[in-house]
Amino acid sequence: MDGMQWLTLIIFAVTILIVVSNKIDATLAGLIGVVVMIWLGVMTETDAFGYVDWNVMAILVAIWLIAGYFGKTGVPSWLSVQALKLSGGRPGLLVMILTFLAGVISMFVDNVVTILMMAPVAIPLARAMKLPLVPLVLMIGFGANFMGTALIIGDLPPQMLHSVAGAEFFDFIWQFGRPSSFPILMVTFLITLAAMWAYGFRGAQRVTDVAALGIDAKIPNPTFATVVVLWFLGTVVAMAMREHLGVKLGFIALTGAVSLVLVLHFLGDRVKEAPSFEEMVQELDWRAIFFYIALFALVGGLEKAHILDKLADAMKPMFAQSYALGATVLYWVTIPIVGLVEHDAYILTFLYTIKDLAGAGIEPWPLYWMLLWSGTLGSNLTVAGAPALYVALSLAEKEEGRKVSLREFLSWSIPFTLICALVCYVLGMLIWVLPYAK
Amino acid sequence: MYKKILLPTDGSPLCKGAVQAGIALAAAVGAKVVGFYAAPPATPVVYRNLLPVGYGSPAQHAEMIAKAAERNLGFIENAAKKAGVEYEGATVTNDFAADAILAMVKKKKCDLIVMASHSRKGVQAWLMGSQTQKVLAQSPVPVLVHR
Repeated sequence: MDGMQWLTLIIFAVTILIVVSNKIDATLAGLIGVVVMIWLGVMTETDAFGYVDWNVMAILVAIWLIAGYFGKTGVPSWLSVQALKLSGGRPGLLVMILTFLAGVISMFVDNVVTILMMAPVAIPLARAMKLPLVPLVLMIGFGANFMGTALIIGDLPPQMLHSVAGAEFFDFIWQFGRPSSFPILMVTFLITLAAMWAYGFRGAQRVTDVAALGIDAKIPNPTFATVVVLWFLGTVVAMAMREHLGVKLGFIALTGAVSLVLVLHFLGDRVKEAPSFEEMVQELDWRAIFFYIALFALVGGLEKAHILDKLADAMKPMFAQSYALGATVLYWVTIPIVGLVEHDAYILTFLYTIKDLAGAGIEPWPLYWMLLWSGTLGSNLTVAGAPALYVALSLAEKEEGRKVSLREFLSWSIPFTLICALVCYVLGMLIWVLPYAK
Repeated sequence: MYKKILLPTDGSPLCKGAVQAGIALAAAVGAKVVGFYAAPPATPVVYRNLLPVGYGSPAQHAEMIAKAAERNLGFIENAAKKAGVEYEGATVTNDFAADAILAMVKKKKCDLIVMASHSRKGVQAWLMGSQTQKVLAQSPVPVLVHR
């Protein structure tokens, strides 16, 4: 490696270390890392701008905007109360239904937003059912973090796969004649939920009269809710049709968001519960958006300095010798790493590395999927791996009026992560890796 | 002089010694005592110190914890009765004993804490920390450490 490559690597490593250590704000650290790379000549400011995938940024902002309106409709609260009724007063079953619901919502909505939508309803339900609060809120966090990768919309990693490898909406459901992210993660999720029920939620005493709990929820303004849900679904369907529409996903998502704002504006007093556009823009997580922008530029710096080529060269013999072993190592090394460090940077770096491996004749798609799944599932191990879990833990601690110890957290996160990682590994190997192994 | 003394316990012989000393002090100065036990949260995994030593449903674990609380606080109650000292008991769920003690001293308006020190050293002290030292550093009321 030459001097410039070492310099790039050091800037990148120091930036990621600062992000992980949380000594200064992660977004600020990321942006400073980019600025240092530009001033020291790793790349130009134009390069940095070019490395940011603005299509992904548009998807993020637009979907967060629509999801923000969705959160204000009262639909998540209403769904949670339906979950209570569906559980028939069985606390263990209620936890599983709420976790499943969080997973389903997070396929379309940002993970943190999913938790913020569901926790305020789940907490009174837990109190009424005499359920321990910490495991319930953590399970909702695990669920929200889990299913974000199932479809292209719910989280940054699938959008990065779209950006790096061109995965389309339906590729997340079925690709090259085999099931991909959505079916594999859904089966994994259901098996994990069943195992977690057996592990920690069976045997809790049933509440025979659910109506006597006095918990109910109704949608405050059905017109507002109907418009938002229809627009959300319409945007998702349009995104699924991207190849036929011939425009970028980000543009479709932005069209959905902007037209929703316009429709709500024209409906006026009929949807007076709808927040103003200004409020919704203010509620966007701008720190996260700028962090992702910095992340793309930082990894772009690595690409520009050809460090990812070097990494791919180093990894190539392992995959050339045994594809299955290489995929296994990639999967199981990723799990603990993303449990301890912010997973988006790791996933983006290795997506580019796998892309470089493809140039050397290594089949990339099984590796893309194994990376994406391990990178998402492993991030449930500790709060350091996923912001959604940090939010869930903070909410649980605030409600309980006590700190949650690491051992209490790990006694839920380790079984959840191990079970889902193991199930997903078996499915991933059988369906994706072994058919491509020579 | 002291009117209400907090007696935290984890059920260990060292804590029992501190409880006896605290009750003797309460009897001498005419104070009430508050027996206090900070229970670990009920999880499927049962820990001893930092090591997992068993597995059961959280309901079974909660039952075990309730029995431990009853046993530990029962010891203080019996000792207080024998000494003719007015007693009340309190238990909370918290893995951080020092935080729980500091919160309880405020809640029950105690004016003295009598507690034991486990005198952990080396790696064990680094891993588990000293609850007594934390209480000593942050307590708003006097702390008597019994050895």
